[in-house]
Amino acid sequence: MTEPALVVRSLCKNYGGFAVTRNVDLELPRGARHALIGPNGAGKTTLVGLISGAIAANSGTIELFGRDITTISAAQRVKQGLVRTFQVNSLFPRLSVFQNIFLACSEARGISQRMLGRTSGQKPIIGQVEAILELLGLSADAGRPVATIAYGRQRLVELGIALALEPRVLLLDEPAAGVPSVEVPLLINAIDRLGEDITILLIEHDMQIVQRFARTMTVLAEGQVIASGAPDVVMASEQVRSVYLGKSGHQRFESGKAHA
Amino acid sequence: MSVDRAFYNAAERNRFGLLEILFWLCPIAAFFLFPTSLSFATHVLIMALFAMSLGLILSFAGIVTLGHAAFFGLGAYVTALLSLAGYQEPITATFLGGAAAAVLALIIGPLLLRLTGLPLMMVTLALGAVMFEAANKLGWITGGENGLGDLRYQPVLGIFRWSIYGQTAYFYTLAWLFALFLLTRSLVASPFGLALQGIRENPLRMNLIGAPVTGHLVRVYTISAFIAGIAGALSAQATGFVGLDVLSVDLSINALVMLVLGGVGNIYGGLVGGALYIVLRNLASDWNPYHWMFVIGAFLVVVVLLGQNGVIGIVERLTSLISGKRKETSP
Amino acid sequence: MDYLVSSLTFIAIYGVSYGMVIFLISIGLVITMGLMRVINLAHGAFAAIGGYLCTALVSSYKLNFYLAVVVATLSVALLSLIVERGIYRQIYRKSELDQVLLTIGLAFITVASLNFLFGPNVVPSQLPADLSGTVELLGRDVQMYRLFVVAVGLVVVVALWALFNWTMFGASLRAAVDNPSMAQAAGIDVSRLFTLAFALGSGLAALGGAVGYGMLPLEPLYPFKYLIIIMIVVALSGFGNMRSAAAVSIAVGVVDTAGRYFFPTYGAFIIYVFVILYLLAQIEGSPLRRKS
Repeated sequence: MTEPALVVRSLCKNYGGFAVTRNVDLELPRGARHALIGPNGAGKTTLVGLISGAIAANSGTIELFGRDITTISAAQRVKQGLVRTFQVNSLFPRLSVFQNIFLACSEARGISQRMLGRTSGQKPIIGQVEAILELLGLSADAGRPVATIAYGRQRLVELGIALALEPRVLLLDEPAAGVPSVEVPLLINAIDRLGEDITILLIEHDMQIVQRFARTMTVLAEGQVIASGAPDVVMASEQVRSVYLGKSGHQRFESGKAHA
Repeated sequence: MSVDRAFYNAAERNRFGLLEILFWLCPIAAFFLFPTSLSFATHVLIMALFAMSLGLILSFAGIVTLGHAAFFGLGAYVTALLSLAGYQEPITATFLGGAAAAVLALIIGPLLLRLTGLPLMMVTLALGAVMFEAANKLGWITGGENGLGDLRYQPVLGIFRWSIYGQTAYFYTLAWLFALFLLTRSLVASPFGLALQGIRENPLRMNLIGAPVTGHLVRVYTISAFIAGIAGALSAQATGFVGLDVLSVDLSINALVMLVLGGVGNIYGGLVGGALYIVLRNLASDWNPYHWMFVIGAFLVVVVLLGQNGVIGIVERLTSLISGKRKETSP
Repeated sequence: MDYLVSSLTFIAIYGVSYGMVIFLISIGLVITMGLMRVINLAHGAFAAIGGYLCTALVSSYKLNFYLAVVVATLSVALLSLIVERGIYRQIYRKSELDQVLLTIGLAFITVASLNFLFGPNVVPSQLPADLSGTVELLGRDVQMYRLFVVAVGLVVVVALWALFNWTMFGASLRAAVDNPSMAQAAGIDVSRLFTLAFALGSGLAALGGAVGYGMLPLEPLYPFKYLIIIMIVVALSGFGNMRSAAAVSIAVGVVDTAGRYFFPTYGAFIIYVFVILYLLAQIEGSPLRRKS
């Protein structure tokens, strides 16, 4: 019997009198492929912020593999294997793709304080970086400064940094945001290839991506969980259809299904 | 597989190529070419070392400070006071000067380096001003405006006497410069050096990948202060004198100008710029100092507006031009 | 007792008048820093140019001092308009280092030019004779000049207050300081606004340089000599908070004067140490902050 990867209980966050996260419960078993969806302003990004530690919760608890992490800093959560990506790229623009990912690997492996020995001599880490580049199809761009590659590829670097941090639980905050549609398959394939040992929570607007990815999902509206479970069940729920999808959403939803 | 080492860390680019060997032959050549100007040449080396210490934190970690002279000055005064107290073994005295500066950096760094931008410049400027005023007011220790003179040191390694022509001082300084250069070069090429560049590019993200940002910065700041302190100590030993100017705001700002003259982003920037600045300043020594100031001011404005990167930038452009032509001609 | 009252009067008058000069010279930088987040180490140069121009107008062209102050102020405002459009505009988007280097360069050029035009020494005072008289105030002879400076400072404070609170320009400026991109979106021409604010700030600095002669004598190195005190006001005002700038300037003036009055040897330190502690205390997670 093993404990779940991530458990969120009764999480609340208010700004002034305005509740953006209301009593959210969420449980991800190990290896989960869980999608978090909801209309704009539902509080999805806030929830990721709360779980990753960027924002402090007003009440509730967060457990990572049975350990309470509610009060520890974002950096400490990363060390424990809880890693997120950002909706807007936050990279090291003048460093190369390789170096961006190397930085994350060297922090995760604790060699970033090594002052003796060249970077090029760190064989095990270099191997690890090369494996990540390979996985994400970034090998060809490895030597180019991140600022000079296409936006869609920069999103892959963002994902690469997260993978380099050796995540056990990965929070992907709209990985396809701003990516031109021709480059989206690149990203989906990369996410598909992530190991089963990584537990993933995906936030996404694009139902096509959600359909393909999710084995379970949660719908958030006005800061509250309104449905959770297997995609078929959730999507069939009248409440989800009326509260979240509406009529136009319904169509988007059905078209997404057709593509999947 | 022959991958360019700069692929892993841009700071690994220099590996004793022809250009680097030629560069280090210059100070040797200077010894034979200008045997009567060795004390001036020593001053050139010291300023190159000081500018290199500033380059370490500015080029690689993005720390912009207006108070680096505090470390240079502290190193100089500590070494001078040791000499006056009777401690005259030169190598350890130089080392202690650097160590004192490093200790100061280690104390103020953890608080200081959480600041960035203008607040950081303000505090470093104010700290520099405090150090200067303190040295000025504590005349019974520092000699105030008269400074500390007639400093004496034992022969280096018990063999080489400090001659009036300054051969010993020259080679002694050159040895320190080269050793600290090697240290700096290996530092920036290491994973730690790459982490510093990550902080320079995006400190917030570095924090979020779990990096001890302030810790990294304090470490490099302390090392830079150590080098600056050594430079100050060497100036005390080479001239046998320490005056208030070693702590002046002018010196802090001049170091910045030297670095920009040489080129930001490369460890040679400080070395080239520091040496060039002092040599040019000397060539223009008959000038009114204000005319020199005008030239430097105009230089800074032009450099920023044209987006040029000092002498190193020009050399890099030339070499890429040459190698680019080569590529065109080769099949 | 008499000694105490007389000392306090001295500190109050001299401290406040000194604070007023600092205010005039610094307020422009407080505004522009808040608006464009540009690091301008050449701000003191405008004060120096204003002071020199005023002095030259009086000594060479026998212009009335008060008229010369006005002419100098307006001329520097006009000059700064050109400098802002021609040079500063290029560095708003550049790195901090570039901003520092360019503005230090401009300050160097100013220092060298002032030396070329007026020589390396302190230029003789051109303050009119009617300001050198004294009046007795609470048992102490006080220079008319000090009272004149306080009066000028008060007029400017009130005028700025009216400008910021009652005019469209002021409202736009406050909005832009709070949130430049929001102001832009709301249809405010932030770039034009900044040019005007820059000219206003430089003009006030010139005014400070001209009337402040008695406290900050004019010499070529002026832009660097008083750089630290200007930066102190900017930092303590909270980088762009115009409202606190006047209070901070006067506090700095009084503290500095009191420090030098009571501890002539170490007076200069007090203000530096105070600033360092204050700034360090602002840092998130600073031990200085936790204590307070």
